[in-house]
Amino acid sequence: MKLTTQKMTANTILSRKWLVGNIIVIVLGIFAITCVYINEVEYPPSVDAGQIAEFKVTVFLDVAEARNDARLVVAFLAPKSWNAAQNMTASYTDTEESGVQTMSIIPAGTSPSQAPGQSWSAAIRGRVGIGENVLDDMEWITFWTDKTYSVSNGQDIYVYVTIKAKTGPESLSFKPTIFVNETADGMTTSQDFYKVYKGDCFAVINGTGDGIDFCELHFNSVQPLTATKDDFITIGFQGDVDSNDLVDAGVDKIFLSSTAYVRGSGRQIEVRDNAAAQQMTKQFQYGNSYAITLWPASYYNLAEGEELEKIEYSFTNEDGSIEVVDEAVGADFVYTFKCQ
Amino acid sequence: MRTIYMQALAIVMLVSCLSCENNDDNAPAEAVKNIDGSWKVVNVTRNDLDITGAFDFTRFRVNFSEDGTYSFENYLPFIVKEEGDWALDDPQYPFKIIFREGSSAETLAADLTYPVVQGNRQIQLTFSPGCQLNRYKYVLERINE
Repeated sequence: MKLTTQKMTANTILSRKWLVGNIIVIVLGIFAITCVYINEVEYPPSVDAGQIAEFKVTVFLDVAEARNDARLVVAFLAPKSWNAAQNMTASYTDTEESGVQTMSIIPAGTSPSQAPGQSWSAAIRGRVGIGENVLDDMEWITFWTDKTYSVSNGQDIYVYVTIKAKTGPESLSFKPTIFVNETADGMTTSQDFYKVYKGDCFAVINGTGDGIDFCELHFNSVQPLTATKDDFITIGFQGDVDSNDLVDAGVDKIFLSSTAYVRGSGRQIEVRDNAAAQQMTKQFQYGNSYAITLWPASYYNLAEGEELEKIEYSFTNEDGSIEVVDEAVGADFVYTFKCQ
Repeated sequence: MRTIYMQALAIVMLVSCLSCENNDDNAPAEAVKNIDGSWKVVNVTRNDLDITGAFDFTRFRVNFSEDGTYSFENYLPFIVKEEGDWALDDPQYPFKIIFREGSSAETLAADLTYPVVQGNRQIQLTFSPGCQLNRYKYVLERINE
């Protein structure tokens, strides 16, 4: 009996050692990994429309544990109108090798290791959103290094990434936002292993249109920025941006008052009778943010074959006696239908 | 020592048994995906932004018939406008649903997934009814199962 007890004790000790040993291995595998930093991001304050904008990102990798076959991931938040998947490239140099190295857009259907079932862009959007921009008409363009790397414990690696983007044709401004991670710890929740950079406003100038401002809120907003009559467009009124007649008068039923212009024929379609279908929905319990989402082809009752050139719009109370227009020009706001 | 041998033997047997289970000849064939019926919208995203509550999608119906035709009720922007024919790119493992309007020879394909969510079969269609830069995902549930 005594002998049996001793054997059991020995086995128990052996099991504990085995268990502790394996737990240590697992914990090291999970936690002792590469820390990622964005040391610096450089870009000009503005660039002409249609020209190349260059963003230089210095990434520092503090390797705390060897990793095998990992790729560096760098994502850039761009206005959708740039069509950046076709008009953006990324490359890099680093302190471990010579020459310029290439990066590619992460193939569709590739998921981060810690966000199975999601694309990289969707996972980043879920975590970072659109940074500090105020219009949600942006997309994450995700690059990874074409090479995979095996790194050793204690390595300090600097990676100098250059992102080049051909800007779209229209004038706009937005806040560049950059996300850096690596595939071995893809979308892990610990901020040691990914970093987000939120930059100051960058402007595309001398382009078409009046200029779309992603950086600051205005009374009006429209999403998406590119649309046809068969998109759903959302028109917003942000009444808390500044003092205005509607909010100052305590109006809590806000209507969209608009005129649509048919391309080619010049036919004008007025929808300004403040019917129920034109009432905007309050977005939050508190504050004065309202929005309406409409299908233009139906909202303006377009005939078959007609396309819209633009709509002119304002925000009014129910009887139309109080109105908020574009105070910069003293006239209606304008939304131009375009699809690049 | 004997205990270690016994444990090793058990592991070898376990691995061997797992290997024996892999008999492809007897594996059940993947079922043909059946999307016949009338489907309603339960969720809509525009460029990954949820707009389900921002617009009245509740009356829209798309009907997929067993004879390979489709029709609409209370039409809203969709990959096609006119009634016509539909087919899956692969009856067992579909990734796309293909539409052909009326007598047109042209076909249009929407990305398709076919998950079961909270016990309900869904089909999720991704397409661009307007500007190609805008991607919409309609999540549909069958209403006449």
